[in-house]
Amino acid sequence: MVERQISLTGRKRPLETVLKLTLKLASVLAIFVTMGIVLSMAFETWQFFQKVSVWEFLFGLEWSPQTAIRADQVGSSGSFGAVPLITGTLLISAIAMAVAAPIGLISAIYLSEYASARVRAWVKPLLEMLAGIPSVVYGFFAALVVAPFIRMTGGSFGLEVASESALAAGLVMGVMIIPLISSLSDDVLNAVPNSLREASLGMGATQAETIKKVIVPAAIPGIAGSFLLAASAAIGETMIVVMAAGLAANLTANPLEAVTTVTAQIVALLTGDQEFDSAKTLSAFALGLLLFITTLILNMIAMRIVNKYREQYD
Amino acid sequence: MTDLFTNASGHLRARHRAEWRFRWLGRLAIMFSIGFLAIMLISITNLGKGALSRAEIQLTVDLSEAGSLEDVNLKKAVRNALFATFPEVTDRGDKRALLKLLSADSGYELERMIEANPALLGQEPSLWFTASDDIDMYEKGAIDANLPEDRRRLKDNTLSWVRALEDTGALRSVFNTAFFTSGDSREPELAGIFSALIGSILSLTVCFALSFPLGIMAALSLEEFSKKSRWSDFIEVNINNLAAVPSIVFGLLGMAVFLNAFGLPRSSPLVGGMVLALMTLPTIIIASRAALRSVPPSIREAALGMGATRVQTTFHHVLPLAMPGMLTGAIVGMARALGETAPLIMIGMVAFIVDVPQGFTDAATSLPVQIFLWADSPERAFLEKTSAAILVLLGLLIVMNLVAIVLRKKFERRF
Amino acid sequence: MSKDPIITARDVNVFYGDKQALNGISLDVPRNKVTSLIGPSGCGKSTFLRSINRMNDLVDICRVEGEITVEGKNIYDKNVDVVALRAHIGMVFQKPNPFPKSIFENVIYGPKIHGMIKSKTDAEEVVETSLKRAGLWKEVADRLQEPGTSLSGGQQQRLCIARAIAVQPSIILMDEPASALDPIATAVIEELIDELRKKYTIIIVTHSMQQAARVSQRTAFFHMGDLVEAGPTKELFTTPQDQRTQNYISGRIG
Repeated sequence: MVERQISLTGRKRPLETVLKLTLKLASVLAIFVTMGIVLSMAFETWQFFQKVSVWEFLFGLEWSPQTAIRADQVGSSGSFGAVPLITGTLLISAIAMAVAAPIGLISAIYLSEYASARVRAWVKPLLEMLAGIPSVVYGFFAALVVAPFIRMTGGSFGLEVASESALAAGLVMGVMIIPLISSLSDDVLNAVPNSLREASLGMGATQAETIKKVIVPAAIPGIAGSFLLAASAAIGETMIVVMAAGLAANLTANPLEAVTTVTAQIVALLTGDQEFDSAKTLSAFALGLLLFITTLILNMIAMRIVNKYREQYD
Repeated sequence: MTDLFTNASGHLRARHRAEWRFRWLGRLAIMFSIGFLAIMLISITNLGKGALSRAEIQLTVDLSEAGSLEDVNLKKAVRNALFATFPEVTDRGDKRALLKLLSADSGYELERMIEANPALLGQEPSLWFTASDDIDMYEKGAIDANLPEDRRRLKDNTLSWVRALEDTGALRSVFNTAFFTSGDSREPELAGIFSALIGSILSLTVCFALSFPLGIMAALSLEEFSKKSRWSDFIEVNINNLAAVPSIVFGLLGMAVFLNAFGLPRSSPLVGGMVLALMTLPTIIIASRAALRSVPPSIREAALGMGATRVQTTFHHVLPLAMPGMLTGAIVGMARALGETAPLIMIGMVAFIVDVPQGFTDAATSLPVQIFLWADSPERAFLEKTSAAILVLLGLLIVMNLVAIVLRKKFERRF
Repeated sequence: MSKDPIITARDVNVFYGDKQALNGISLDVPRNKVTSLIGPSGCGKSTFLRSINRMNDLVDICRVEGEITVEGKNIYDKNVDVVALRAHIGMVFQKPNPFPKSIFENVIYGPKIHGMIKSKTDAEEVVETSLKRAGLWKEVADRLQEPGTSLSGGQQQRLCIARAIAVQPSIILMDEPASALDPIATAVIEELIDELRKKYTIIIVTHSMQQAARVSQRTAFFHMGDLVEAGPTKELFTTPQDQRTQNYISGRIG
């Protein structure tokens, strides 16, 4: 019979300590990535602001980026006012939200409050499909089918529509972000306790009244969170705008005109052969940092709201 | 009393009408979304179905003087074959137009045909050559022959030759395997998605190899080996934020760090995969953590109760049970990475790639980037190729998602 | 005041899918009295209660046969508007469920929807009256804008009663209204019920026989989907006619 010595103090297992350390390092990786993003872009942005003033960048109304012709030229011969880019981004994102918010929310309401289990079973996956289609496909559709269609339709009403209208890009982008709103809103609506529905219906309210006056107001924080996340996705979207919105830095609020966005400009500035230090290339990083900070703020607020709301009803 | 509780009051009726309208609003919203999806898919399918066929022209090539491949002046042989088919063409301008019936690569096509079948040498075989994209489009009905000549792509002379070829049965359409087997080309009729596919596969391999192990390790550390603290909360916030960062920012990061600072080869699947890995990492961590959480504590307690260490418990007992969920999350993450375009454009995968990349450091492109590049081309024929490539991409995504669903269903355990 | 019963039930059968929950229930409910429905859990008393204001309609698999009349009208008739019916019948639930709105808005919700409010003074009047009748006014008069959820359990339940009363029903259904409350709050609710029956007809489902004895004038005893026995409360508890009733009262079942 073999006797086993089981020591009560336990042996040190160095392999395990190393393993745990490795795992810990992996978990910290996420922080390194965030730091990497911020630092790399901040460094380039700082270099950019040596050549172009912060004031001009944030408040300048003209965007025509040129590289300095001579190496000793201070500043550049072009202008780097990002305002047209910001307004372009906001215009297209606003159109996208105008499409996605009502359709997404009402779809979520119908799915969670009215639809039978059978309808839910096949509509929900279909809406998820919208989210799974790559943005380059949407961009293709927007540029080659939707934009010409809008142009033609506008033309037949006597309206002057650009071939790369903000409307086309915004419309398609809106459809792409519908699932972001409908999915999350569906979850938050379902989380509202049934007792509230019973109380309202028991008093003789119709289902629509119950939804509009009791359920949706109770779910507002979660719904607002979903709107913010969708807006953040719209602002950061690249392919649809690159393919369907073009590069005209146009300061306008007219959806029938062509505008450009921060993301489209980043792509334009960095594709092709560039001197890595030129103001032109560096401006792309400044734009990138601006984009990163904006979406970060939106996302953090959204997650805060949704988490606080979840605490309320769990 | 008979009116009690009936639909008599006007106000009540108005409320019921409002209810009816509200319900229909909901149905319309859903129908709009699904309708848009359907229109998009149907129109892309319509645009792309033509890519499955290509037009070919049959010519009799005189190889009777040739004993070996070197003896053949490929371009001349093809030209002479064309002139022999249409001896009435004498004008220089017309002759140039005649040459445009075939695709630009016809010389190489002849070379490949001879290499495949050397018995053709010394004969006068009738061979099929790929037609030019204009002929291809005409065959598919995309060119209106009734328009006046100056508004048509195919001029009268070309049109008459095409009709002559049709009459003699020397013009046909065949299944376009080249779409799947060739790389990109300036000529739309020769363009294929093969090199883009290989580029995508290589990039995804690198992405998976980096993000899956790192993601699982991070998830394990956070779920099994950490106590809830401000530090772990901070990490979690970081991960959630990274999951929502716009993809183009990762492209910028890749440019600044991988290309500029580390000096890795531009446009390579290595760098592409690394950037995709950074993007996919948060998704895999979140999915893996969920998979670990779904393993009930009783499993851990049983193992620990027997004297296993935390490490043993985790790796021998918990991890195997969570693995299917982790794999499902990884497949979904890969599917998303497959469709990513912007960051790969930023790290340079926009070059014109004809040759199939052989390794992870060769210049490559990816399927969605290829779609992006083709979408810019004005030729009608590229429209068709782009749509077909999109259908291939969507097909791959559907397959990947189905695999994930099947995997999840198969390993769904009720604890 | 007419002497005929405000609610009559004749041969009511209720099914959940294939399962039968109520077997041939026939019962008369008198006006301005408190009728209590008692019985062991699962006996069908809540199901019967919810059939009266057709809350069972919300459950897909639920099917109701037979006739229930309110004020002489068969409520399952095809041209009955459920929305109007429920304005005549208020309901208070087991767990207090005030809306996440202010106290004021909670009470005014029903009247607003039914178009009973024409002006701000109307609204304030309705809120004050309802809260007074529910015995809550003194405690909340100075903080009507605070959320309904900030009240204690007993207060929340009285708020729910005020909310139900505001729509001016003639009948109030209560499904174990005090079971989630502490004894003091329960006593307050029971006193309130006694006050309320002057203006309303009340049907209360309770699992406490003592409560039924304290609060109601008529009692109906349910057992396994059958209405075993119904009669004046005192008589039912002192001289039950059916053996099952006797067993329940003496604690042998339920």
